Amino acid sequence: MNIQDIVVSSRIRFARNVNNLPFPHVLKGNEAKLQEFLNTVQSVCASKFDGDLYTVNAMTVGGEISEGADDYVLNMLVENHLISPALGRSKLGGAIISKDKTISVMFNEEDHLREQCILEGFRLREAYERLLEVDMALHDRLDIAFKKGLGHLTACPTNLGAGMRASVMMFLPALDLVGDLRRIIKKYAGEDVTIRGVYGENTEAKGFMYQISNQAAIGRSEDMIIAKMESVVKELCMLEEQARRAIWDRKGVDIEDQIMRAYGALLFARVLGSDEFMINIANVKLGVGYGLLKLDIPSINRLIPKVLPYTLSVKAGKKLSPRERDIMRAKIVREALIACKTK
Amino acid sequence: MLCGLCKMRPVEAIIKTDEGSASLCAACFQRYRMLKATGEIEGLSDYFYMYDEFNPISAFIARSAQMACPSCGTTLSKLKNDFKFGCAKCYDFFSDKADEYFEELGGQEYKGRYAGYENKKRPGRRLSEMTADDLPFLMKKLQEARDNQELSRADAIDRRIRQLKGGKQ
Ligand SMILES: [Zn+2]
Ligand SMILES: [Zn+2]
Repeated sequence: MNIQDIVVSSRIRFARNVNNLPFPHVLKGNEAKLQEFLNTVQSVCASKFDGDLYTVNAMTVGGEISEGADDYVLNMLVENHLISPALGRSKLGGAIISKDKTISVMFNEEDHLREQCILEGFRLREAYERLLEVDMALHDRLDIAFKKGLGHLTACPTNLGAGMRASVMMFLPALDLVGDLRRIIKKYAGEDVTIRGVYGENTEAKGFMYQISNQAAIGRSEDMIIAKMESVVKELCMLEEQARRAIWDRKGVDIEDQIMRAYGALLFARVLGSDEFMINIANVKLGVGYGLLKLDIPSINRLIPKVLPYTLSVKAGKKLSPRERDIMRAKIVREALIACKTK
Repeated sequence: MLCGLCKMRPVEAIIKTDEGSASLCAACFQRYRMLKATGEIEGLSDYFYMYDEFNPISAFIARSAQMACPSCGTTLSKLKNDFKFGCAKCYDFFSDKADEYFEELGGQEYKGRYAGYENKKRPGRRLSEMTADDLPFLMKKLQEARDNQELSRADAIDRRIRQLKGGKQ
């Protein structure tokens, strides 16, 4: 099995602040200084990547993520992990997002800056090196808050030090099904690594997607954090593989039946709910892992965010009703699955 | 010797003024400087009066909980409640609290890529910026990475070394 089939994406995030401007949660007034800060951030970003500016106030009514009419752009960005849910509650907040959606620089979230780079597959170090380029340019032009020993100064002291979080999104269906995950989560918690479900954490239907991140690590260097995450991800891949073999040995034909039915449902559905899609696409990916289906996994991974509820609304250019979304989703999924067949 | 004001931490600075002198710990000294700079106190006697050692202990605690960072207005009680500093200067103003959190979080100094940035020193150059002149340095870094089991870093350095040896930039 290929590690790139289990690891969906890799993300690096930096938390940064500037001197002489109160942190966002107490930031009132200071308009001139704030504007100067934002102008510099925009000009640095423009010199490093081709991006678009989004501001929370222009995206929402009242700066709250709600079921309102005009907020689907904001929710789409949250759905796609391009901004955090917390940013939506910051009236002064916004983000500059690269056109290829790999780099996002949020401003006035919990810290003045939250920069991130997301890449497909298992490419933590590459994401780090790319983001560092933007980050160093920001350090050159802004008066970044930093103190010897403590490292980067952040609103919440748990982010002190490198101010860095590395996360990897993984597809772990077998570990989840054999029930090993709870034990594994506990083991890694002791090593400052957290594992949590993505897309419907507490619901029945889920896509078996998990986000693995480093926890606060004040004295750790960026290299140490990445090295630790890499070793955890490799270990999880190995465990996932073992679990997949164990499941196959116990009930191969039932698994095959479940996978093929899921594939059929996605190929022939005309109305496809979000939960139904998630559980079926997870089975299809598992089918590719077992060699039962010949489909391109990265293409499937790219399909998943495209049919999330708000992303569909943005594509349609208007807020869609759940039923309209389900119909649109069925069509997109059908066409994508046919297109991503491999020999 | 202990700080003449909080009587908790060792003396790190001695202030001499017309009103007399005081031996203070780093935190109390830092706070003195900031309050004086913003004009909230005129001098040492004002500062000691703020602490008011003749009042009951509870009054002292209440007063110090209301002491606010002159830059952003964050008070000690708000900091403790929200577990959030209000600005970069809070880390000086509440440096005793910052030290306490630092210890709770493991107490290890940051020695990463940006070490030295307090002097606005740029972090180390990127691998792609290294030239053939840097080969001896890169070989040393490669060994370090291997010794520390930082395998992907070692791979990246190794790749750059091979590129440079192959004459490609
Ligand atoms: Zn003292
Ligand atoms: Zn402050």
